[in-house]
Amino acid sequence: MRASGEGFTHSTLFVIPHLPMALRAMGPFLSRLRERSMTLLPADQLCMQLPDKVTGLFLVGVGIAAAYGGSLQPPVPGQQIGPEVFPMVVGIGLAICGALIALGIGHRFEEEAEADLAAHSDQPAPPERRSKAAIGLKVLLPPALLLFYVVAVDRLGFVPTGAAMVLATALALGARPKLAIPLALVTPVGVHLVFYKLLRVPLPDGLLPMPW
Amino acid sequence: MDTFYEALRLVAQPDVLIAILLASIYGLVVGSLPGLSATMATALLVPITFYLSPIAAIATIIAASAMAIFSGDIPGCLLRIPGTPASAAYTDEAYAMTRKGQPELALGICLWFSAIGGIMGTVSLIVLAPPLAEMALQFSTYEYFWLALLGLMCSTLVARSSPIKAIASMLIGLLIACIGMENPAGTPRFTFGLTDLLGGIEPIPALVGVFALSEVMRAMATAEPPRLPSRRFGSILKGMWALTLRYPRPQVRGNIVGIIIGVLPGAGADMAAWVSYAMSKRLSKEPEKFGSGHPEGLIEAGASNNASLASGWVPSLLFGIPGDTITAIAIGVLFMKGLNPGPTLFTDKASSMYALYIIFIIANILMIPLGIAMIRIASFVLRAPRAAIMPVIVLLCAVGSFATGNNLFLVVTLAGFGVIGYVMERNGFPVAALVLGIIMGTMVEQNFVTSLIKSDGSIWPFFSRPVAAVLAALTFAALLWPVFVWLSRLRWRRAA
Repeated sequence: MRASGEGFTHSTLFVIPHLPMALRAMGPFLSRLRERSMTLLPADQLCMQLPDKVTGLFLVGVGIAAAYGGSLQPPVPGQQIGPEVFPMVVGIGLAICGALIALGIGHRFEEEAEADLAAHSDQPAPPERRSKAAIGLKVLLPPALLLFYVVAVDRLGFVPTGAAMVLATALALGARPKLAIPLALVTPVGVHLVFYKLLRVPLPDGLLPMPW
Repeated sequence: MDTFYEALRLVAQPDVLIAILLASIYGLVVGSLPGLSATMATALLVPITFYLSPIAAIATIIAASAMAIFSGDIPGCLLRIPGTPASAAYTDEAYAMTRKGQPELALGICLWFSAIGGIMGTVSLIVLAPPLAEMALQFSTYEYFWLALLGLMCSTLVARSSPIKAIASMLIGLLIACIGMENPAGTPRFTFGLTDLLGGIEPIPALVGVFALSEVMRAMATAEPPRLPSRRFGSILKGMWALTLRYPRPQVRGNIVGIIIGVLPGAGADMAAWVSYAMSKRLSKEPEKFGSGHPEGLIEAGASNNASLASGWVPSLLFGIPGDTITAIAIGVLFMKGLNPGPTLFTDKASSMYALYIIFIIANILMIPLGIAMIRIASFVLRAPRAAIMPVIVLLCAVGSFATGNNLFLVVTLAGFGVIGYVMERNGFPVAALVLGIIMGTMVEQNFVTSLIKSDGSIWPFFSRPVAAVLAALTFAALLWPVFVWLSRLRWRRAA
């Protein structure tokens, strides 16, 4: 699921610069379509927001795959109902929902809820002028750091790995080194003390064993 | 009476009392930070509850969630940024009061009526649970199947998004629950040859990913909320008693609506606050004053969200069907601690249940002094820059997920669900429905398949038993409700 989600963003990012060229060739019909897609995806919007058509069709695919995968499950001998029924029911349901979403049904509920929420809260709009790709990479930083943790923690040990993660997150959020460095030095040690010493979670020592 | 004394003894243990106090402070701080919700506060606590006694574990969850729901009101009042989604409904009203120069009044109302709402919700839990438990003893797999499905449908109804996207989210959750060997045949299903997936997706890293990690990801893309100007507050509770006497009706109504919404499986504090605020405005004698800093709506909605928090435990304890996302997490903890939810909990483990009630009452009373202290230091806590808080949360997510099974694959799960949660939220797919789907998937499938095997593949018994028929009707009503809303709006527009 994750990989395909990223795939969509990358392919949209890849396609957008090539759109004008294709449009000139394909006439006014497509330019109308482009106007529509641009209203769906205003430039200042944050990344990873996809048109309903894309998410809907993706869900149709997932639903069909799940139903098919479910139908391949080996039956329980001597019984009509086994592990195949539930994924098939859910998969078909998901495919139907995906089709409805792709057709834009129920979109109005969403607009109303958004308008309601916008009227009630005052979240400041991001004043960013960075490119969408830059924000996209920053958004993916926390999960990337977790994968780094998985790869590195046994070799480096908990405290160094944690310090690197804290430092990276703090700097990405715009912290000055004066804040980020002390934070990166103190936080992993504190977390290690609580989880290793008090809660006895086996965090790996690696290069830097703690004295407790 | 012996059970009651036994319960008192259970609660009076020093570890339980310390757990309540620390969890309360934790809940107040986390709830007050914009963007960190009560659900996230609870999800991050779960790994710690592993290492506590059963009663202390439940106590931390109850105390932290109650405090977080209240303290979400603080940045709402002072900055017009709701700390938790449950505060969003009346943030404007509270902020209008602050602008009029009455921040003490706004915060006092939130605190005082939250505490009363919480206590009323607890009373409803005490009163409603035993008779419902008796009824639940008669339930078979058919009823459980419908009940679980009803809970899932309710969670999609209240999602404040496109109902179809909400249902899709729930179905994705059910599909994720299909992964692993825990299925009717006990064969590996959807594991793609990975041994780590044989046990299925662990709900806790998934929850932490969806609610906490995706919040950090969102912080990466949004601007930092404005700093709170430091100010001194006058007396917080001044005039609360007069307001209690002046607005008895909104208060009672808020409590009742909150209790009802909480008892419904799947619908929680956010919904209670929205419904109560809207109801208060419609039924008020002075609806024109709403939005300009009028206490009435604040009283009703503030009481409502805390009442729903306690009554949300009714379906969780009785049927193992969560009333909202917080109790969804709590159910996991209950199972882990050997307090398996179900009607027999009230007969076999009666003293634990009484202890739970007592903890609820203590937490709601403790909310008043601790809440006042929190309001006094709010300008200090809210000045902590996001760049200092989010890195700590990332690290806690990693360690907490790892600790649930001492397995690094759980951290991969966490990262994956962080991305899934972020992408879904960005595209209007409500994540609460996804989480409830993941948690309840196994239960829905088990009851569904067992029922089908019992009936030899016929679906007739799903509708022929009286209670099952009522639950089925409610489920279909929940499914068709958006269609009804749409049709009635269409007719209304045509008439206009």
